[in-house]
Amino acid sequence: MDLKGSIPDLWKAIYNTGDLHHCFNCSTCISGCPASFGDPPLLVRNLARKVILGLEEELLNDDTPWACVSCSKCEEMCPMDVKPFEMILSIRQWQSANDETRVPPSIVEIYKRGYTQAVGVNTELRDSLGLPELMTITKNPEQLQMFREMLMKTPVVSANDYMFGG
Amino acid sequence: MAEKKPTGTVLVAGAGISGIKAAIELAEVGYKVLLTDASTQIGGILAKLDYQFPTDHCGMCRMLPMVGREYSSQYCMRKSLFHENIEIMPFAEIQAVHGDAGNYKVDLLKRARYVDPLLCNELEECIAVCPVEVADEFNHGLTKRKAIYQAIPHNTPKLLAIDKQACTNCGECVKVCTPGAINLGAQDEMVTREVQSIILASGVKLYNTTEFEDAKSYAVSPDVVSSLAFERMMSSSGSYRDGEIKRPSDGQPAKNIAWIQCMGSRNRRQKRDYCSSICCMFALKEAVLAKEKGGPGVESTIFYMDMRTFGKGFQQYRDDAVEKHGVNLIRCRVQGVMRNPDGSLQIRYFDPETNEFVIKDYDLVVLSTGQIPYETHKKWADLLNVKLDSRGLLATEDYSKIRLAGKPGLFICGSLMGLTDVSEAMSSGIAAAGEATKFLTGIGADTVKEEEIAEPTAHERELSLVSVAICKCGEKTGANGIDYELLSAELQRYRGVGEVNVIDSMCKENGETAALDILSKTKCNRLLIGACQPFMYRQNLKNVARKAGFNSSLVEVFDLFGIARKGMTLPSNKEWTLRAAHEVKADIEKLKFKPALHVSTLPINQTALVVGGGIGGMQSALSLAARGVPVHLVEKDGQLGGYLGNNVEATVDGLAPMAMAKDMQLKVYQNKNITVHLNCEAEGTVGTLGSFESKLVYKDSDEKIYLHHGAAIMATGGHEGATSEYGLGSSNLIMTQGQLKKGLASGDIDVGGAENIVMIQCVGSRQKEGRHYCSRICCMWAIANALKIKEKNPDARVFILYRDVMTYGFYEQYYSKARTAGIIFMNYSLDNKPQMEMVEGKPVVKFMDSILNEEIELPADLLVLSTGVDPEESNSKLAKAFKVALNDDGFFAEADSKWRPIEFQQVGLYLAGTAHSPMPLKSVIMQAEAAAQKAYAYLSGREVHTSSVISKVKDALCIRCQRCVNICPYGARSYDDMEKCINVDPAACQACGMCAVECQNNAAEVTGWSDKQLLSVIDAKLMDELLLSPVE
Repeated sequence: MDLKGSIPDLWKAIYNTGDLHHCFNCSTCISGCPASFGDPPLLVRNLARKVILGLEEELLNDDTPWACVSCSKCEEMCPMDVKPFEMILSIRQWQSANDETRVPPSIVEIYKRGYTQAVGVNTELRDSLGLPELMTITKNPEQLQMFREMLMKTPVVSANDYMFGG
Repeated sequence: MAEKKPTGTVLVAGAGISGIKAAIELAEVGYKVLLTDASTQIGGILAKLDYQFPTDHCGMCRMLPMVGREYSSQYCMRKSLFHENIEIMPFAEIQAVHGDAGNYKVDLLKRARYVDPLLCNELEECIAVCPVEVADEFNHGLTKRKAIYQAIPHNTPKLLAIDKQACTNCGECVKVCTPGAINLGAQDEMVTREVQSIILASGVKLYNTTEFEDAKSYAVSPDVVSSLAFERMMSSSGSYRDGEIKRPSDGQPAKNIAWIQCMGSRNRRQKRDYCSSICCMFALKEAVLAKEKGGPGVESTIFYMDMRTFGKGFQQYRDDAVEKHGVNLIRCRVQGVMRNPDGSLQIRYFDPETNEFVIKDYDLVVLSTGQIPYETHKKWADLLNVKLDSRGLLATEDYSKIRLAGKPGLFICGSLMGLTDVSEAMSSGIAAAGEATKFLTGIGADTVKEEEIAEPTAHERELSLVSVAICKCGEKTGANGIDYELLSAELQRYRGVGEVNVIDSMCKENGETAALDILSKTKCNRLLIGACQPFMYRQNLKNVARKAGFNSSLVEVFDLFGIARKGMTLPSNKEWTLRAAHEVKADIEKLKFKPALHVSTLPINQTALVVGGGIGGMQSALSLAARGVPVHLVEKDGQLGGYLGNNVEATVDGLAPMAMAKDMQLKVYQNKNITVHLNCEAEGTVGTLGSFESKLVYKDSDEKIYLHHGAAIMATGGHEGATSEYGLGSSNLIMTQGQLKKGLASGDIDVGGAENIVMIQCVGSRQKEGRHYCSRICCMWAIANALKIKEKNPDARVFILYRDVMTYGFYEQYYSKARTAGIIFMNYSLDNKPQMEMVEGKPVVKFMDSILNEEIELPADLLVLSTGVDPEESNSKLAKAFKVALNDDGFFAEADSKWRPIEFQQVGLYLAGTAHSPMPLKSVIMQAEAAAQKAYAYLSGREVHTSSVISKVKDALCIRCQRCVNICPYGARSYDDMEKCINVDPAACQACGMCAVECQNNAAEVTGWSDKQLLSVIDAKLMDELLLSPVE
């Protein structure tokens, strides 16, 4: 990777708080991050480095910020008080503002199944532990339809309706 | 006659290692010391450590004086400390300080310990009957103790105390205490003492696993322990059993152990923007020891951010830990520890080697809980009316780590100065003693004048006749069941015993007079004294014996009290008394065959030689000259100042070495005690022990002079290293940090239009080929230069490519400052070093970024190389001349890397500053001050006493195999190529006996420990067993 095209001041456009510069790449943010289990994993530490180096192109094409589940653990444990969670949100905003064609993959997910987190996957385990069935929107097709219609009214979905199965 | 000067007394507050060191140094010069500690005993944190790197042994005793052992206290330091000039007052707190420099009145609160140590018979029956059990703080709760307890189990004499918070006042202990040493109603007591000077050495505390904010994420089980607690898990006086490290929760062996670094430090969120300095080495040592002590199959893993191996020998230790011992180092700060249902501990981490997440289970997790630096500073500031600096630490004078700002007579040392390791604690203790000595000399305080007692001659050929003197010790021993009449009668019967006298309280004045009376009339030529606590009274008792006409090598003191204690289990006084008599017989045998030993006394030449005219050398010279010692300062260049004083305008922490050197130079030339030799090198040196003759050669004229001196300090310094890597010298866009520093200061280097500036750290350093050490200052230099660049051109991007950022201690704040200023730090590893190629006349640096796991290409407008610090080339010549050792890297090798950092093995020779290893300016000055103090203490003794108990060579038996030379830990043995024989340096020999064990031919012998003596002792002991079956 050549740093020739990098933008030194990119961090100001994305996350202009100064907190980011305290980052010393210790990896605390990633070691317990639930979204780091994903594929590709969310690596907060790497995002911080990309912002600092000013790698605009790479950041615009990076989908991993949208995998964040907002648990805030990185925020709580970061020894340098970089506030990584806020940086993630800032990157999302910056991506949306700077790329009209960006459709966050999580919106497609939400549109399709009605929720972001994989709450439906552990039904058998819940059953075996005697836990009650989770009420999700998928179990109510009428409401799911209403929800989809609402989403379709937002510009980012309506402009890209081909991605949402029509 | 001049009026009598007051005897100088110094209060040393805090009896950890730095305080003890300061106390010993002052006591050796002859000042009185009051050594206090807030806890119930002395020793501080080190009392808990059985092992220290690099030897992985204990070694506290190495800080005791090595010369004149006959006259000073020699005893296991972890047990106790005895010196006639040191009064130890544990469990005491300073309440108020009145008066001013040279005239302090200190109010001390002596806390009640409820057990009088002078009356205690150490039988511990009280402990046995005490019904209260609480967690033992000394072992971090791994074991239990009673409410009446001994805080440090290995303390001698036993120092019992009652924990009144746990005590139920049941009175059981009082009932069983026959000497009546326990007083449950005892009160705290206020005492006021007058002292001239105060040294604060109250040290630091380390966090425990629950004391820092993130503890809840890590300390999830009893099997998560602090590094200090882990020390106790490896100690037999802690929870170490059956060759296994036991897991606290269930006592199962811990095999898979993880260390997590930087717990409670390097944390901006918790407002702890400092590095605790010691934890990296602490963890490495523990990880190595765990593998050695934990039995087969132990795996040690350390999770770290930067492995800060900045000190002398640290890098080698790290490399050995990884390569020889197989310790895993993983650069990842983990977010927490999870407890599995089976009790094991789970850690998830990102492995930078494989770039994958790993989930692994461990039996035990050790948190490297850092030092808490600020705790006592506020208290001292209020008590002493001293200022705190911006960090909240006691403010010291510019360039000094020791002298409190604006407060002559008040000094600090040890971890109170910041965060220190053992070696720096030692240097600072000596330096603080030095400052106090200078202060006391300045106000005209006197030293303790010792009574001169002539040594009576020993008549070697006389038949030995032993006089036995038994001290009744105020009937203390009597109460324990000794029948003195029977004992005397029994001893009288032994062959070789001339007389037996029972004398009361020989340690007291009237006992002494009585003893003198009786003993001066004797016909005997050897004396055996039975007394309590002989380690405390040995010196006194030997003085009494000398006055009575006994040669001190023919006087032995034995522990009657110890024997008395053994007697307690036997049914009758008579039976026990007879047994005691047999025990004493062994001592009589040893004394009977003891040869008369001689202590020789050599005068010390009162002149000092300082080699090296840099800041360190000048500081040592000025400090000695201030105390009236004539000093010859030898500098190989044409001007004073050294590398720092001639090249570096400012350091990252705001010091100005060039200005300082100029100022010092002026003082050096004005001082009539200092003679400066420029363009001059010391070339050969003859003589030892207080009388050296060195050849000084002037390089410009080839003129030679011969200088007599009693002591010498090596302060040869160092200079910026060279490299052939990264095209240095091939382009004016590639330079060293030193060149950049100069260029930025003079304006010769313009960074105005620069876009990217790349710095590479550790060039040719911290690798086996090249400088196998961290130069300690390069990270700070790079940061200082980078900040300067940012100041001149905020738009320039500065990249610092590093392996580990070595901003230890409070230097961490400059690392933080640099990042805040936008300087970008990128990590590289040794096996994947950055590459450079010139593209269109510009250097382009390519390297693997460990974070993004991608190769990055950086076109640089300037490429700056941190080439480290090289030792002076002249070191090897000097080492040969003075017969001192260099280490593999070309720096001088001190006597002991932890406990004797300022001295050489050879008596009278000292080292300071970068001659020792690269170090920051303030540390150079502190070491120079410490070296001056060591030299002064030595010279002020005016004569050197060789030890009487030393090893000798029986030439006729010696086959010159030189095994003894190789094994001698003190470098006291050497092979004389001319005379073809083995020589023993009588001052260096510490009579450890290693040579005697190693020698296959019995040619090496330690005087006073001959085979004949020992065999007769063994015979006597074995005979005991035969005779001891039913006594009629």
